[in-house]
Amino acid sequence: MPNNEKLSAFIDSELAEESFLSELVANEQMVDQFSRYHLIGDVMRGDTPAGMNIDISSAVMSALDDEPTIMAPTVKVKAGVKPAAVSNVVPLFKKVGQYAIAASVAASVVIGVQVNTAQQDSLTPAPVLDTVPFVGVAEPVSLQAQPLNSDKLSEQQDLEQRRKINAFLQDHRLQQRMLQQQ
Amino acid sequence: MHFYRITDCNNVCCNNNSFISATLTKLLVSVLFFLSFQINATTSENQVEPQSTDYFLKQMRQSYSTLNYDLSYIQVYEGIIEPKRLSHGVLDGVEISYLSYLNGPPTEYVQRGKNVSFFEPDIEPYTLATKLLQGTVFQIVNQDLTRLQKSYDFVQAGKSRVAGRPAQVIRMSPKDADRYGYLLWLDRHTSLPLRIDTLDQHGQLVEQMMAISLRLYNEATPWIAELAAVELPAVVKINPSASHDDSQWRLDWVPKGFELVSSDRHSLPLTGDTVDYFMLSDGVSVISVYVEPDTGNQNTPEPVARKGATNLITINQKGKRITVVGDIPAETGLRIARAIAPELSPQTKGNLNGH
Repeated sequence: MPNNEKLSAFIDSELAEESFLSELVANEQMVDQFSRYHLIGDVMRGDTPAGMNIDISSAVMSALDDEPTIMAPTVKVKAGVKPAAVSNVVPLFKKVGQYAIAASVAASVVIGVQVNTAQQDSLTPAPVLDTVPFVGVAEPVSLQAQPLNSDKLSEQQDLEQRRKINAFLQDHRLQQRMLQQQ
Repeated sequence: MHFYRITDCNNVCCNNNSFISATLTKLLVSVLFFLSFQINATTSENQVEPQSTDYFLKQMRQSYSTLNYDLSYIQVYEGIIEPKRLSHGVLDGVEISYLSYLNGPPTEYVQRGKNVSFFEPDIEPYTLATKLLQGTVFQIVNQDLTRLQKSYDFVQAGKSRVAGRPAQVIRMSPKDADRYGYLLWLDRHTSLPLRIDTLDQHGQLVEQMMAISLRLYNEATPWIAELAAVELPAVVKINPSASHDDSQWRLDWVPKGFELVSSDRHSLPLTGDTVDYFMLSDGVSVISVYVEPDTGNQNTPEPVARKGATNLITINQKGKRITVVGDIPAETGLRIARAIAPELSPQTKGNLNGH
């Protein structure tokens, strides 16, 4: 291992030894380390150039060469899924938007219930109710409502019960919202 | 609030040398003297003694809707912690609040004047003409004191410290066992809620709201100003629900102080099941009652769920399935559900005024 402590001090301008510079240039391992330290510093300060080029492609390509070829399965596009509506309000809240994708995926995995939206279109009474998501999670909090007797149920019953509970909890909240200001 | 500035000044005195301290003490005495007049003046004006329970509760409601502040808090259920932030401000006479869930899927609510916009994961944002921020915490803070006093006794329970601020503790005990009790920690300076414990009949904690930081501003923050200018989704008009005169059900028992707020027949957005619906409220808790025909499927168990103070109870009774949801003890929910009876004649309607 090269002398990391010395190198670190050198980068921080705390090492005044002229000789260290020549030592550094001569040692390839240390030159690598030198560039990595500076990269870490840049990243931490947010100074990274926009088009920063970290060469991982060659490593990936060589790894891929060793992999057997698999025919890609055809992607089925689910019918009836509306594209996400574009709203002019979104930009304001965009700063949190990037989490939304990951978070909503996680939520749907947890609940594990798919709701067929086509079935409920004709039944929704108020326009607001059209805003129910495709996945069976309207509010993340309802996930945490555990059926108390869930251990006695089959998986199918458990899912059905959770869905029912979610439906009531969601409607309970929705009804409170729709109550007009008096 | 001159009074509270003195408290601050007093702290400063302690940190300074004795010479300045002596001078300041003199000043303090004179200010205190002056203040005693002021306190007398307010007492006669508002008929509310400063530092009385009524004083704190009235100030809480007023501060909540008139001050500029950022209140960060956590909401704790059994083992679950939800951090949230409430920003509030008044700009050009318009009240603006912003509630945001800090963890998990981004959930944000914006209240501007009389409208509230809901931003929730996977749902296209929408706006309703409604009150912001349902939930017990805000129900208590927003509720008229005289209405609260019908169902609860308020007692001062000493002083404490929450979120680095001195707090006044007020016990809000229910007058019967049908509802939860609350312990309120109110900021000594503004009476804004710093901590609210929801307690069941046995005094066990079922839910807790606790402030982490409270920041007060002299004027609306830039964020509030931004919210004042931003374009929000158009207001969705809700048609008044169809007349519920044909309702087939009667609620034979509701907890004292609870009134029927609304009732209709609608379908659950998630499952599409059609239900007869009743909403009850005592000003603090909101209870939803759902009646639907029993599916007859004996294999379907009756769901019972709980999240913090919110209980969901379902019973199968005489060929119908009754579900009660609300921030009430499970026993109360069960009693409401059991008291649902088929409507016999139109004359017996409207008997829903508590007992």
